[in-house]
Amino acid sequence: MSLGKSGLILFAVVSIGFVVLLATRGTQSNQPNFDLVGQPAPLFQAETVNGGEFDLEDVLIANRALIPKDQVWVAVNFFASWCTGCIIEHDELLAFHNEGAFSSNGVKCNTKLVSVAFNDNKKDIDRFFDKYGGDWQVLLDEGTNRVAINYSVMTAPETVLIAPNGLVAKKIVGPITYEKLVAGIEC
Amino acid sequence: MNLVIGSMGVVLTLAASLTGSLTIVAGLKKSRERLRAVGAKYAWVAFAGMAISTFAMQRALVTRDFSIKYVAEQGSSLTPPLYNVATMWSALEGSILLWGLVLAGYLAIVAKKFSNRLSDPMVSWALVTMFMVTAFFALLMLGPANPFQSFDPPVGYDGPGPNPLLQNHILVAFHPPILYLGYVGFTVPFAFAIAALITGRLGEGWLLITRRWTLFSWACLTFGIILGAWWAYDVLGWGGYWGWDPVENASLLPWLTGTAFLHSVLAQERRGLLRVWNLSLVCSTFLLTILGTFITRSGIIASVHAFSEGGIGPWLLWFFSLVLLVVLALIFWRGDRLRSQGGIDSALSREGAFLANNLAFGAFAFVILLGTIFPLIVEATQDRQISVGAPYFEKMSMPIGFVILFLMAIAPVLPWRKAGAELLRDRLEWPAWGGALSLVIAVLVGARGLIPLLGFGFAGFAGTSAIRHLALSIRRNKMRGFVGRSNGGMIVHLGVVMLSLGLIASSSYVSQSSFTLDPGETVTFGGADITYESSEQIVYSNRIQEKVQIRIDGDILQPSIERFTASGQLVPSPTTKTSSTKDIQIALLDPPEEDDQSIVIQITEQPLLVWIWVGGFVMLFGSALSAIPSTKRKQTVVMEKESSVHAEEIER
Amino acid sequence: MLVKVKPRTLSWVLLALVSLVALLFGSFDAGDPETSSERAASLAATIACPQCSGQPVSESSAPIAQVIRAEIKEQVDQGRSDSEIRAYYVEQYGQWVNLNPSSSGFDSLVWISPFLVVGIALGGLVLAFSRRNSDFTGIELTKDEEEQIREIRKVHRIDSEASQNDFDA
Repeated sequence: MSLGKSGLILFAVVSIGFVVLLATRGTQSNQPNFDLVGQPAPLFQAETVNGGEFDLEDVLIANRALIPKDQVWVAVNFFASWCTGCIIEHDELLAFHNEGAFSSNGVKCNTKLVSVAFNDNKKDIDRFFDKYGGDWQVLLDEGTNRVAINYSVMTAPETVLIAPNGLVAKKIVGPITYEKLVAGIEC
Repeated sequence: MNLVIGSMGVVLTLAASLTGSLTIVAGLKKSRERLRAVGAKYAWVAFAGMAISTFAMQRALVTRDFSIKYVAEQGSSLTPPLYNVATMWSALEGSILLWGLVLAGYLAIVAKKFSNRLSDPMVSWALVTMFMVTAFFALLMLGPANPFQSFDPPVGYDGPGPNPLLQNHILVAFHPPILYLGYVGFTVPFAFAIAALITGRLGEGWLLITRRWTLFSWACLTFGIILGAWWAYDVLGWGGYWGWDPVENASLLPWLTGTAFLHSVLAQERRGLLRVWNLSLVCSTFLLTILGTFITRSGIIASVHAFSEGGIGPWLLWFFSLVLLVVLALIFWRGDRLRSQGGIDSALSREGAFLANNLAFGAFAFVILLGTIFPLIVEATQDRQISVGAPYFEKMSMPIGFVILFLMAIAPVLPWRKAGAELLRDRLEWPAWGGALSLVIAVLVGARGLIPLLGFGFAGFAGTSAIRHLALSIRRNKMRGFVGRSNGGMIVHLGVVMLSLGLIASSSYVSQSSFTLDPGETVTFGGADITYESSEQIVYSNRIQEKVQIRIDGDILQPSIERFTASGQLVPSPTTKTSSTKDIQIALLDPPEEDDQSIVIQITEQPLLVWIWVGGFVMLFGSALSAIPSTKRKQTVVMEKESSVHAEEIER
Repeated sequence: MLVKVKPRTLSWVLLALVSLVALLFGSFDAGDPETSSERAASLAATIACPQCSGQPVSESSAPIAQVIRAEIKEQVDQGRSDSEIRAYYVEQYGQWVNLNPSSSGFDSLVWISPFLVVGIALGGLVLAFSRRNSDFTGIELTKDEEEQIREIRKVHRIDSEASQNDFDA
């Protein structure tokens, strides 16, 4: 067989591989990064929109001196006033903030909810909370966007649950439900 | 009503295409010429079907007939009138209808133009091929891409309208149809290439009769791509016009092989060389249009341009595989007849330049195809996600671009068969000086950096070579020196040079910054004073526009942001101050609000950007000039050549 | 003894000199050093927006894109190097946010294979070319025949540029 014809056959084989490759692909989408789960939560501190302060490290240090029933589970909710998903999940967050969480044996565990504002401003945040309620700490300063990136946040809303020992227990991308957030909390 | 008419139109096209091809094949097998002539008539019926469906769809869109699912999903009572027409191609099913319409149109015109040659088996087989392709697209419209599905609208229903980015610029009405005229147009030379393979008549015959069709399709594809870039530039706000997005790459791939084909046929016409190249290039062009359609509509590669999927992917992939199989089988079968009688005697010759051209464009196409599907290869073999983006394509295309500019400079002066050094030294002297002076001028006006300077040098080299050719031609033939394939081609080359200058300057020397401004505040950027003067709010039928007035060096620009009522989507509308030396584009990122009148604007400055669009128009103009015959003897000579080609092939 | 230089050769030497000087000057002249915002902008063009379909953060209005753009600028101001900044975003989101494919490992294939393919194609052509020429058993022309051919070519102006570029016949 001539060089040309064997080249043709080689090309045909490569083409078959090409078509098989294309045929076996699914829809492409960017996957969120869940590497953080099970790892120590990135520490951060920030100012709230009302002039207060929150430091995750303080909470974790205090946890070490407490008995399990009193140790604090921290839920970090990455939030923005412009995000429609945040409106959807707000009632669930209110429930978490007001009622807390119960372990499987019925004991009420200590929980704390903080929101970290993502690409937002104080005025719009105040307006959001005035409209939808809620009085937990909302963090916003020059460093909070970096905090979001440290937690691999792609967009609001995303919520990270930090166990009392400082490890990330779970990361939920998108609007949460109360049940999904509290599942697995033990004290 | 519209739904029934529209669906019937599609069925009519499918039936006509199948009947037409069967009739012609029967006529070929039984050597009955009358059958073949009758079969060709079905082309008109197929076109009528598509025309009817298009009419039905347009009527449904304009009257907001929400009983049709496509109109319910894409139409809206708030959409301005003009954009209703363009809504037909703003989503998947409608875009396939547009493809079908253009394809059936080409089919009918081919049947008409070749009506006095219907007894020629080559024409018959070409029509059969076109009928089969048309049948496939009609089948798509009855299957996964059905534009005429019914919908039961609740009372008071109003659709969301097309994507806001498809509602705020006039080019939405021009870019897709012109692009499709290009894409779909290459079906014609492809069909004749298949016919040439089947009939075994692989001389210049099929090239000569499809010359005008190839040129027209190429010109439309070129202009369509440039309009797309212009549209992106006008609406996106980053000063960008090409993102190496998978869909953009998909449109560039057939353009690359199509351009190589357009040039390479000259070597076959003059010396019967590069036959396998020409067949491969035209078949690749057609295959790449199908592949591009698949990539755009299957969702396997994420893209901003991608249409929503609907199961059309597998259909397109099967069709692609089928066509590829047929082409490879035909080339394998006819392999012996494809050997050229002569060969390339010397690399330094016109033939050698065309071969180098094929290699350069082929390499370019390979790079773009590889970069686009490489993430898929990595995912398939290693189960991880990577990206191949603009940095890769820019770095790889730059050396290829330089090679192409270099070929553009030397090919017009190279003689056929063999070039002597003396001759090249003589003919290339002026062009070489043009390149050198371009370098000097670039450095004098402040351009720095080895790569862009090389680019300017090569562009000057190529441009001066084209001007030299034209000058000689005008001196010989006066005004006729502007028309004809050779001279028109030189004008197209000049357009390419202008485009290259714009590309090189704007990508190498772009500067961009964003500013927060209070009313009345002034900042300085790029040596100009920019003042935020005032703002206003305008309410339209389908959107609310926040517009600001920015004074820049004496002119007032009015960028705006629009919030579309139906979808809530925010779409920026940048404004551009254009001059022959640079473009300054201002985009409004953050509009003023009632209690906070400050705004955030982004300013992008790019030198020589307008030359991209000017170059595009010059390319279009040059293509038109190419189509005008430069000698009056043309008609008889083509006929003679044809009959001699026939004689040659009968002998063989 | 003075070397006789043809004006044409002189012209070529001159233009080569002019080009070289211009190129060297233009490549090595410092110009303005890159500002931090320019460096941040070119970095931003190589980081993909995590929420988009492959666009860089420099070309997206998505919130995460704006945030990353601002953070890149800050990291540049803090003195981080380009590779450190890129590595940070790859760490946070995955390799796919780096629009520049890696030049090591499997991914380097995307950079290397075009050159391989072109090299093989060129090699194949050179092989086919030299084989054809060495197979050539041409007929030698006599002096008279050569003269005749020269005359015919001159009369019909076959070697003129007009004839070489006549594509409309």
